[in-house]
Amino acid sequence: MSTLIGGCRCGSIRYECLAEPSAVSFCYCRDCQKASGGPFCNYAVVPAEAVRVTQGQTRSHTVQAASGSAVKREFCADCGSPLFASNGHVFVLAVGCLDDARTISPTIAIWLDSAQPWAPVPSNVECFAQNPPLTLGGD
Amino acid sequence: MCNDLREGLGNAAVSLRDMVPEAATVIAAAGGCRCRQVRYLCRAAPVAVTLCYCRDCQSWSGGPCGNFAIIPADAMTLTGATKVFTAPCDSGRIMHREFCPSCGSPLFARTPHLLAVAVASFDDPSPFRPTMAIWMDRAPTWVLLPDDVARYPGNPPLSSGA
Repeated sequence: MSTLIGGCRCGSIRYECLAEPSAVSFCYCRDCQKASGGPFCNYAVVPAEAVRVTQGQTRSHTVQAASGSAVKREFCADCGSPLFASNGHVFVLAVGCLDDARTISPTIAIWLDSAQPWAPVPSNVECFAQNPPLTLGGD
Repeated sequence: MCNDLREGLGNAAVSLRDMVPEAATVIAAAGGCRCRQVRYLCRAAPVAVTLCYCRDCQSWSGGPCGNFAIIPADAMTLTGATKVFTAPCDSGRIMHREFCPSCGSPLFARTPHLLAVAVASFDDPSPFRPTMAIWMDRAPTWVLLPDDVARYPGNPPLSSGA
């Protein structure tokens, strides 16, 4: 099993993940749009206990997501890189902050109900108008 | 349009407007971060809306690309304090990236010639349809793109002249 390694842009925060993603999502909810600055968040769903922060400390901001659940978003206070999000059921890594993100291809697209009209959607993925069943989220 | 931006863009701005007139339809747009500590008003149409696949934009967005509306710097009015992170981007040029220190929302990226606004930070991002995809040679293998955008392996003429 390979280890996923990543961190923020400035190098303050580093982490490793000892599990393969159970899903790789594109989430088009409005809150994920704000968090990424663009049309979606791109997350790898992994077991929270498989992730170890090896250097630095994240800052977090907790919001009420479109689903109604509280979502804790963690980022680097120095450079702003988004790193993790969790809602008590699902823990996710921001794919763009992995050291090698090129091959982590998406498997699901969610919250398409709130996608911007011009948002690109990956082909060959399972699509959901809102949240997928939790089983897809690796819970 | 401010003089810096006009000099930086040269004829590229004109040709972009010709290519993608819809990029010039938004005259004023408000936006801000998730927690509303930072708010802004942008009083000019974007000259381009980019999807940037450079590694720097990937770690900025947490995904495959940054998504920016390029506007004249003097058309932006800001309230609230941003945190600024300054580092070279893939082109080697120094980029100042601004985000909300409280909620982490990405907001702006600046060079001396350009102000790029994170599209999703607008209260209504729906008019800001992407017009170009840049730094495609850094894109992931499963790259995701709208059909109708101009594509560039690195920087477009827009910023290579800046």
